[in-house]
Amino acid sequence: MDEELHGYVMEARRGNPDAFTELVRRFQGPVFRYAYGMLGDRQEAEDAAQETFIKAYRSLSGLGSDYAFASWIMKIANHACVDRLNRRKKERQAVRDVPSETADKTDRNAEWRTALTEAMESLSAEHRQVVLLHDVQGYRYEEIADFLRIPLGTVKSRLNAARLALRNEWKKGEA
Amino acid sequence: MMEHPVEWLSAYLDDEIDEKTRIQVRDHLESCESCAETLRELAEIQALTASFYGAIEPPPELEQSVRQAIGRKLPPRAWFRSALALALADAVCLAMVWQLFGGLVWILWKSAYKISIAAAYLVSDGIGSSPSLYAWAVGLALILIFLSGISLRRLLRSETE
Repeated sequence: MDEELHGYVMEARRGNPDAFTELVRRFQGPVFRYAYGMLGDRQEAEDAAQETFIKAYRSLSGLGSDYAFASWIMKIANHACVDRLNRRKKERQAVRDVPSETADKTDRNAEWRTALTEAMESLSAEHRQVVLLHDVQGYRYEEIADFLRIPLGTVKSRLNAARLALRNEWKKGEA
Repeated sequence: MMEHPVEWLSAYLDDEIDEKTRIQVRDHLESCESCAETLRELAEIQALTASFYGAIEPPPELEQSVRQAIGRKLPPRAWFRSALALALADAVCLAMVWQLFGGLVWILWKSAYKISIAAAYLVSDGIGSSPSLYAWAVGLALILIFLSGISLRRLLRSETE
């Protein structure tokens, strides 16, 4: 963690809203990408990201160490997404959204993008978590185990199963 | 030779595997086209996932909407800190006033206490001698308790909002 970021975290903990806005600027990308990957819907991802930052701001005093901010904010984002997925399951609404980036069929990459998002949506939430944390957020296996509070062996087997399932769905899409 | 090490392919790809198993998987891949093909597909999927989701940009209004939302809410820590500072300032002021005018304040306080005790006896005697006045006093006390309850509830509600 760079010192500048550490300074912003400390200032935000002292109640400085401008410092917190800087943190939002820096972490909105990873938080939004994770939420989008988990929820598969831009609007819901935006709501979840907003909820994440507001919760973080209101509970900054609960942050154990200034240096742990990055994983702390991602944990809040993960909870926000899991809560939304649970609510969605309860409401039994089949929410499926093709993002604007993938809707343009004139784009030559549109087909594989659609196939990929559909394949991701077919995965369980647990499988999406490990794929996004590793392949998109760049976490190592040990960090994922710590983040999700699961054994290292479970991370290995879950990521392997998730990728194999993605590959199978991808192949189905290609066929 | 190792059986098809399908369960190790992801960890092999991510270099999250112990040296002994890594060598076994590598040796197997050299002679098994099926597993080598699966590994290539997994690598392709991983690259596509990273590039697709990595290129997703947050909506430009997200930062502004968060800023607006937090602008309305002070974090509890800051609120606590300002309340604590205010209480400390009050205590310092009180100590200074006491240092300067302590003796005079003490005399005034003792006199006020004696007068208030005498007044309380006088009022209770007066109220006790007239039943209607007694009923009015009880009624007034109940109304005051009720109004205090309402105002306290409103105060607490506005604090939590």
